[in-house]
Amino acid sequence: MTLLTCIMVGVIFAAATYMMLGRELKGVCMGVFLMGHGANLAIIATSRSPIGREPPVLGLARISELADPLPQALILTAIVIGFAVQAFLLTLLVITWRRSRTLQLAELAVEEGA
Amino acid sequence: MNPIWLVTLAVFAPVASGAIGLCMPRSWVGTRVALSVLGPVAAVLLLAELAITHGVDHTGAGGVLAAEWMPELKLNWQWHPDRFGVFFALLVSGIGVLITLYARAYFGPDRDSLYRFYPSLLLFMTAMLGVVLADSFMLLLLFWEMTSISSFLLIGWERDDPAAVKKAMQAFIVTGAGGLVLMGGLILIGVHTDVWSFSALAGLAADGRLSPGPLLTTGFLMVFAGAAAKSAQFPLHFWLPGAMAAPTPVSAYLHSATMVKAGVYLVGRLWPILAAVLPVWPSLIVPLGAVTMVYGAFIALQKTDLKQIFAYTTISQLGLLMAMYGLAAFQYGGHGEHTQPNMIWEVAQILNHALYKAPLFILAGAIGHIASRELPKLKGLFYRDGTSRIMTVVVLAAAYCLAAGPLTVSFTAKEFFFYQIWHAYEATHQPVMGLLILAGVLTGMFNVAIFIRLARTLLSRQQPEADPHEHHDAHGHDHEHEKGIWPAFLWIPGAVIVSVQFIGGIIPGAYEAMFGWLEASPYYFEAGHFPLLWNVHPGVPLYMSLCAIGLGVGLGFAPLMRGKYNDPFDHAYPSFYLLATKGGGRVFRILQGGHVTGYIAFVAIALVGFFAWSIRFDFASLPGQWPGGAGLELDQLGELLPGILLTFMVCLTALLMPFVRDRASRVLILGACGFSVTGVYYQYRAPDLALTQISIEIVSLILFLLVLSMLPKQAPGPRLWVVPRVVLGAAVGLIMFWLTLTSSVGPQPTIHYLGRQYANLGEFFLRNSHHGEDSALAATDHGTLEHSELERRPTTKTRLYHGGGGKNVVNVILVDFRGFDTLGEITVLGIAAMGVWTLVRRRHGFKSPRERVMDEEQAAETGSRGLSLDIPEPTGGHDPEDDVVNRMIRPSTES
Repeated sequence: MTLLTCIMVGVIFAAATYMMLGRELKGVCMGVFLMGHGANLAIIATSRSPIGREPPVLGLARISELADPLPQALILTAIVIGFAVQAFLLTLLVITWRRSRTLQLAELAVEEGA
Repeated sequence: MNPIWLVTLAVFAPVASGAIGLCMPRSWVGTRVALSVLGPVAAVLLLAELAITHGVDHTGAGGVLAAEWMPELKLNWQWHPDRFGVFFALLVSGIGVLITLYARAYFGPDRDSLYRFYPSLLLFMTAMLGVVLADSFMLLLLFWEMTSISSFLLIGWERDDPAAVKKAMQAFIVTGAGGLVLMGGLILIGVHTDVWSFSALAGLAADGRLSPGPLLTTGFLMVFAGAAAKSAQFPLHFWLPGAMAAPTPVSAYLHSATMVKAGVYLVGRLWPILAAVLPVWPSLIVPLGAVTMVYGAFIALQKTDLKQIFAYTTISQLGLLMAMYGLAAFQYGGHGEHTQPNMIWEVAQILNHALYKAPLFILAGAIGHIASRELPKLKGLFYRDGTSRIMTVVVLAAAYCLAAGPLTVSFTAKEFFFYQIWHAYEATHQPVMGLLILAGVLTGMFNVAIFIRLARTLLSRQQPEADPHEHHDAHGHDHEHEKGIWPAFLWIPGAVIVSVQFIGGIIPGAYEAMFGWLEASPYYFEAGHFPLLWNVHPGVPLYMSLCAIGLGVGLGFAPLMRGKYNDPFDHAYPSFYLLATKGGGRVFRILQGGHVTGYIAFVAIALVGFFAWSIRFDFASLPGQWPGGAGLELDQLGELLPGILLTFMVCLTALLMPFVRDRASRVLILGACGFSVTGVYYQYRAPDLALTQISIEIVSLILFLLVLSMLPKQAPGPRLWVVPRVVLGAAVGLIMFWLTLTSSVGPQPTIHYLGRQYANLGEFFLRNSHHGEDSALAATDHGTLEHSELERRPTTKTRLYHGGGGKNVVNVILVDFRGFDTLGEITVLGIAAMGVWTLVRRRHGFKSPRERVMDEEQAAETGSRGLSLDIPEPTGGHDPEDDVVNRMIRPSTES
């Protein structure tokens, strides 16, 4: 399972980087959200293989057979904060369009430099 | 009184009187002057009391520790009032008394100037006293930076004059940068020796336990660079002539007598400690000092402004002082009657310079008051009136000392210096020392020529052509109206100081009384060997003096070297400034071009680059970090099957995204990816994560689709830069794959906490999340936890503080162990919500109807959208759907 997760992380990061280097702001935003998934998966991978384990709830199994709770706690925070960032970024996307009438990064850069 | 209190009070007396002065009304001019004089007077008296009752032989006693301040930073209130420090402190505070009086005469009864000037000057005085009395390295640095700051304030005295402000910045940048280098040097010395005070360092050197090493050498070089910047050594000397933009009391005090000697002080403080250990000492300091000495005197001869002349002679003299310390490193063991290994007359040289340079500046300011500071306009000053006659006499007396004429302390000091050079030559027999003799003679010659030219100008029978529009030394007030004793104080302090030069030079006992008890090589005083005019022996030093005087008189009358050469270093700082601002602007525009793609590419390339750099040494070990097969449990294929499926889904959706051009499909694919990730969380036995992710995924999918409906439907343009993007993306993906793999296989670090050992952090949380007592849980087999065991009350007090009392360990971590993280998370959510609210609120949401009308009129006039974050309603591509969306995410629309 760990190897599979690592493959997912690699593929997601590759696709997200490619998208973030695009020329349009929507695509960049999607790349950022995609990368968020990759980062969360990278954290969960550190909890080692889940096979043969139980969720980290006391009483379900012996302690040595429970999954590592720490990465899960970290990711729970990360998901919520990621959602906040996503909402903010989407708002910025709309504002940018309304103010600049373009979402092309090249044109936005020109506007900023002007 | 206790020496601790004596020193501490002496250091802080000036700034205390300045601070009290700040609290007084501006109109109390007389009280303010009296109070400001009281500060330095108190310092002098306290130091004298210290020297008389306690002596000045505190060397090696570990200094005087007043109090610990920040011992972790090696910063303590630790003083070192030894012979050298007390001498400097007496010099600083003694001249300070006279300068305070002079400043009153210089500024006249101008209450605003005095109100602002005295606190700055007295702050400097405290800083300087702190520098020369501090024992702890860090305490010295603190006061050192204070002198730079107060110097900055005083040079930029004319706040409205951009030129003065620029000069102040120049001085501050040079001396401030020097201070930083000095800090590095002192820290290196401290790290090498493990002592952090001068007295302890001297103790090490006295016991012969100071071992040379690269760290010590580097530290010394850095310390010397800082000292050279402060003491205006070539080629960092250019800030000192610029500092002449300050009012003359400042020039006389900071930039001739005291602050510029801080670097000399530091070198003087270190020479008994380091000169014998570091071979680099003489070979670095002597040439640099000699070049500075000749160069400063040469440029001084070219100048016509009195303050500029004296500034460059100050540079020259500072070079001489440095060279003196460099020469002191040579050993003269067993050389005839001289039993002293090192020959140095530091007190005589330093005091001599202060005793004539301060009067020269004081009189330059005084003459500037009544006439001008430009030499051509000062012709025949002697014959104008009574005041100008007195001033001419005093300034020529001081300039005579500059020329080191006989019957002055200066003459004796110069003889000492020549003597030192000559004996260094005899001791080493290096031809380079011959150059040093030449440098000494040349410097003497230039100084004599300066005196001759000054005397010829001031005593000339010609008068300059009158210029009715000419006004003297502008400082915003008029002295014609002031009566009484104060105008005389323009020259009295100078006369008082310069008279010491002649008293010491003429009366043998006086010289001995002044310098004998403070000097580092007292032997020569005991033997009566100091060369006053009537007991100089014929010898090379005397011939050098005669040579310098003869050549100087000739040069003074000759039409050579009159204002032809300017100091090329005048352009050093402006060029540097231009380079820093223009070049910095260019670099900024390149790095911050406004291109989001550029920033992201920069980060990605940096990641790839740092990764490549960090593994460049052990590329072969990369595969070795992953024990083959780990992480892929092929024997449990049945368990693994959902995982394989989910991996396929995640990879497929992620790879599809760049290919799909339709925006709605893209968002849906992103959502599909998120739902697949939810499945992965489920596979990882993380029900909380899966629940959270699935709900948030739904919300964010809807949100994204709503946002898309507010954005225009644009035909996607052609793909650009595909190959570099693919390469960079693949590289980042590979790196992340590898980093994840290496961090997820292999052993985890064990945790030791409160005497227990845990296999990893996760086990710690598992074992402690209920109530810190894990024996019951660990003992139960196969997950059938006894209910009574779980609910068991803690039996000891300590258990009360352990655990979170919950069974869902993830929740316990979030709300108990890492509760503050959760608080931060909620805060982030709140901030994001507020940001969204601010951004999407209606344009006129918080304005009154009247303001709206005004805004609309203004907008109609200018026709511009302005730069605020207010959102104009879209004019095109507006469909009814948008209104629905607007109402949903912008509640204020309805108001």
